[in-house]
Amino acid sequence: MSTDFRAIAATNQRRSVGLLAASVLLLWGVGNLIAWAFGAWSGSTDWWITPVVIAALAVGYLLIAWSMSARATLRLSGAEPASPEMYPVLHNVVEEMCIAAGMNKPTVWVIEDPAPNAFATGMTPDRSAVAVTTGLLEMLSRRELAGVIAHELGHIRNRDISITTISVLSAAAIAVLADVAFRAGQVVLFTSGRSRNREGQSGAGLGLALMALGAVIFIIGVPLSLLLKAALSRSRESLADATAVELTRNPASIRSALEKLEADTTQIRKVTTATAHMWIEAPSDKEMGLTRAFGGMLATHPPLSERIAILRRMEGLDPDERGPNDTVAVRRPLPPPNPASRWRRHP
Amino acid sequence: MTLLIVIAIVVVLAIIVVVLYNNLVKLRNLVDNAWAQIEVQLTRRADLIPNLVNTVKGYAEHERETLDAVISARGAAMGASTPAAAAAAEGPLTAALGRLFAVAEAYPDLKADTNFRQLQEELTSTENRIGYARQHYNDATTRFNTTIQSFPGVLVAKMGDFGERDLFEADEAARAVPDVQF
Repeated sequence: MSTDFRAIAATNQRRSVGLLAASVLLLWGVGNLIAWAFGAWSGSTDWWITPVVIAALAVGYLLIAWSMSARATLRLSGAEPASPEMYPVLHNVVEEMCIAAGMNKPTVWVIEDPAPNAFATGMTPDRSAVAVTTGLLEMLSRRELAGVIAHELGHIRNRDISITTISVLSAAAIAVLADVAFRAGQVVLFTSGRSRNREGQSGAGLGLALMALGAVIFIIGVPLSLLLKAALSRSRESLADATAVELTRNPASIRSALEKLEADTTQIRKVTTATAHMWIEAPSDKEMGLTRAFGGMLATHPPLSERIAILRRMEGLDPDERGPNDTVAVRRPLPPPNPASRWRRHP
Repeated sequence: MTLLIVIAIVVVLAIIVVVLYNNLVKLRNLVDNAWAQIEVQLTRRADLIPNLVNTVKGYAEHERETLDAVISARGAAMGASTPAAAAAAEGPLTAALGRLFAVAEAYPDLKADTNFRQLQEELTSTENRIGYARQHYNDATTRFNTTIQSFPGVLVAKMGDFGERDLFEADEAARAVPDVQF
């Protein structure tokens, strides 16, 4: 097990390339399968034309869908722009990490929520955003916040949102293709059933074959693409942890933050189902359930204990113990609103 | 036919050389940018200090010695004409600022002053930024040096002004831990 953040980063980069290539190749393969079922190779054209056309279609679809993909509507997650007057430490920490990373400062947002979490979003480093919850500011010290921000900036710099979007689009396309094949098979079967000559019988065979193909793609291709997507996401999360260490040059900052997150059980209130967010910790119960199902193969994040163990080894600490953690938080929690008060409480 | 192949190979090689050259230019400019970033943060710190000194003076008039130390250290840092002198001025300035904040602990009115707290945060942030700017400069320099030393960059590097750059290293004086007297 490597204790060097550069080696971990390099391993995850290689893994990501393989996983992303596998996602796109799976889509291309499925496209070819369907083309074959529709008789693309039974004609007199050269054998390589269909695969090339399918490849062009796949790339074209990915490019167009990628550029159109939901401008991560930050406000859906309840985020408000963080004003520098109200959140000076947050802005300073983000700017410090941007200097360390050599990148331009993304827009900074805050979510009013007691659950500690943070995310980064944006397709290119120049049009990105980073958001934190008020719960996170009340839990972490300046140093630990720097670790979390460095992790999120790592996502932006490494273009993780863009990369995982491609694998999500591939998975979506495979599901659609499975559906198309199945329904086309149903239509062919139905129309051929009306005729009684030999053409009708071969039509019935084609129809059943298409339906079978659709079912196979659905049963094998869709889970496979989801597994690839989850594995890719986990790999990018590990890479982001390594980037956090690279930027802060201090594994303790992100490690201590993750330990505090591990100990906290509050769930974030307004969960967004948008996939274009890279959270520091899985935000929803459904996600948490996924962490344990199938031996964790569908989880988008590696288990917190594993991430913490890797970081503790970097510091030369026992991977199974916890601590030391910082005690002074960036922000003191505001007192709860007094229901007896006549005056409306301003945030 | 062979002429076409030769031309194609030459064109491909030319494109490769162009791409490599442009990459070297980009990496070198990133190194210059990173160096300039350090200067920006040092200037930012120098600009924050007069405000800090005035705020402290308002509450802790008789801490003259500490305040003067900060002012003179800042003067030395700003007046440094060579990188060596600038590096030498770093230690005394950081030490003087540290002493000033340590002294401020004894004045609760000063600590409660919003302006002072803002300046304290800004100076803490600026010290962090200077550190990170130097770290980033070293990262950018390492990336640049690695590219011009490895193959094929080493061949293209001879085509232009792509000399190896020095890493930022702490001066011996700055490396010595400042002695804080209470």
